This record gives sequence, C-alpha cells and structure tokens, in this order.
Amino acid sequence: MAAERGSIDRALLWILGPAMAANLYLIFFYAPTERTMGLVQKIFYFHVPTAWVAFLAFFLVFIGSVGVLAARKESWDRLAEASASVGVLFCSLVLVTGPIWGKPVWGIWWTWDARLTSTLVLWFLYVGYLLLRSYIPDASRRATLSAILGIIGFVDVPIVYLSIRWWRTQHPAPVFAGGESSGLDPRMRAAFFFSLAVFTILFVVLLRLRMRGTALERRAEVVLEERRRSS
Amino acid sequence: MIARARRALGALCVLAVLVAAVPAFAEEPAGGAAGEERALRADRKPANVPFLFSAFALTWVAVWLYLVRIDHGQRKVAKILERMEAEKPPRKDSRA
Repeated sequence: MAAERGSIDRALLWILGPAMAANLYLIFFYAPTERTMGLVQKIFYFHVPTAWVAFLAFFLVFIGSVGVLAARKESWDRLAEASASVGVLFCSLVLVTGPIWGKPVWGIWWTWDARLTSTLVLWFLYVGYLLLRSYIPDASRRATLSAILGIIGFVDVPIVYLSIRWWRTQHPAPVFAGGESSGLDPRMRAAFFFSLAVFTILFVVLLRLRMRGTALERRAEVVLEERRRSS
Repeated sequence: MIARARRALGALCVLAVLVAAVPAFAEEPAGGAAGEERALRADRKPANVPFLFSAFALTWVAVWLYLVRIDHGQRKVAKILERMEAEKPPRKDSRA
C-alpha cells in the first residue's frame, strides 16, 4: 500500500516537473501579449488557476466535513484538514496576485467590491477553520466542530464565483461564458487551460503530502494519549 | 519523497522566477507576434514588468515555502513519534 502510494507520488512529480516548465513556455512565449494591459495581463494565467485550486480545495473541505458528520471516519477529517491548509495557501495567493495586477491596470491596489470582499471573507473563514482546529485538543470534538464550520464556510464559495455575475464590480467580467464580450484568443485559451491543469496537479501533489503529514500527527496524538492513560 | 518533491519544486521555482524576469531585461516584450501588435507593445509602460515579476515570483516562492514547512513539520513529528515509541513502557499483561 505504502509502495503503491510512493509510486503514485513519484509519477505525479514526474508529470508535474515537465508540465510546469511547459506552462512557463506557454505563458511567456506562446500566449500573445494582451493589447490594452500588456505584459501584466500574464498574471491572469496563474491568478485564475490559483483561485480555481482554492475553490477545489474548499469543496474538498466541504466533502470531508460532510463525511465526518455522516460516517465519523478519521480519514474524512484528515482530507478536510489537509485540503483547508492547501486551500488557504492558494486563496492567499489569489489575494496577493490580484492587487498586484490591479495596481497597474486600475490604478489602485484594493477596492471593497463584491468579488474582492467575498474572497477576503473566504480567506478569513478558512484561516478561522485552521485556527479552530489548532485550539481544540480533543480529536473527536475538533472533527465535529470544524466539520460544521467547513460546511458553513463553503456557502461563500458560490457567492465569490457568482459575485461578478450578480453585481457590477470593479473586477473584470467573466472571461468564459460571460456573454458576447467574453472570450479569449485561441493561444491564450490553450495557455490558460494548460495552466489550470498544471495547478490542479500541483494541488493534488501538495494535498497528498499534507495528508501524509496529518496522518503522522494523528499517530503522535494516539501514542501520546496511550501514554497519558498508562501513566 | 517529500524532500525530493521539495528539491524538484525548488528548482522549478527558480526556473519560474528566472523566466518571469526575462521580460524585465528584454528590449522587446516576449510573445511572438509581428507588425501591428509589436507597434502596440512599443508604447507599453515598462513599469508593468515588475508587477508581473513580483506576482509570479511570489506565487512560486510561497508554494516552495509551504512545501518546506510541510517537510519540516513532518520530520519533527516523525522524530517525536520515534522517540515516544522507543520510550514506550512495556504493556502490562492483563492475564497476570
């Protein structure tokens, strides 16, 4: 089982390495430079994939949390915890790369519009989720309470996604399926979808590594508990 | 395994940052197009490039640091676990 896991990780890394290099080539040399924004538009090729990965991660937190409440299996809790941790990393990157793009294009770093504000709320929710986990020593109580927050927190994900459709915001309108004015140059589209795939593989690699870490932490907790009981 | 992933990703991060730095030093922005589009690029503000570079560099450095953090945490827990298991008192025989 462990050998099989190791070979999956190795295969993923072998795919990820060349894919990341190819992704750089596509972003910087293959995709054309956008007419009005210029080079800074290339932030789009990793700003949007990081947002997609954050959504995917929080969706897995939701699935894991439902699993915890329904099946009471520890593996669901580990999935939720690991996924929240990776999700917070990518959500932080969304919140950092967005303003870096916004300053030269809008002339401001930040504005309290619907998309930006709901994304910040999302980040706070999952940072809160991780903080909650770190404050509760009892594993069963921690799993239940964080599962409740994991389910409630996910409500914000569709709000973030739909905010640019529901409200007129400073944030650009949807590039895909956003009406007549939406769409991308075919080369830009190819680079974008490739980047999306690469970031998804990166997410899977990080998630698997983090899950292994949480398994070790649980084992340490069990040994510690056994010691406490025997003493 | 995680150490190998960290090293591989570290190397890729360096590559990513270097590639992102290319437009900052190139006379003409990268991206193969001719004529009209090139002319359009000529009046582009060079001030844009540091923004692109910093966003790109931040992304990869953050991912790499995260991996370093996971690796460090796992090593620490594994070491503690090893020590605790070695110090484990022998189980009391309930039949005795």
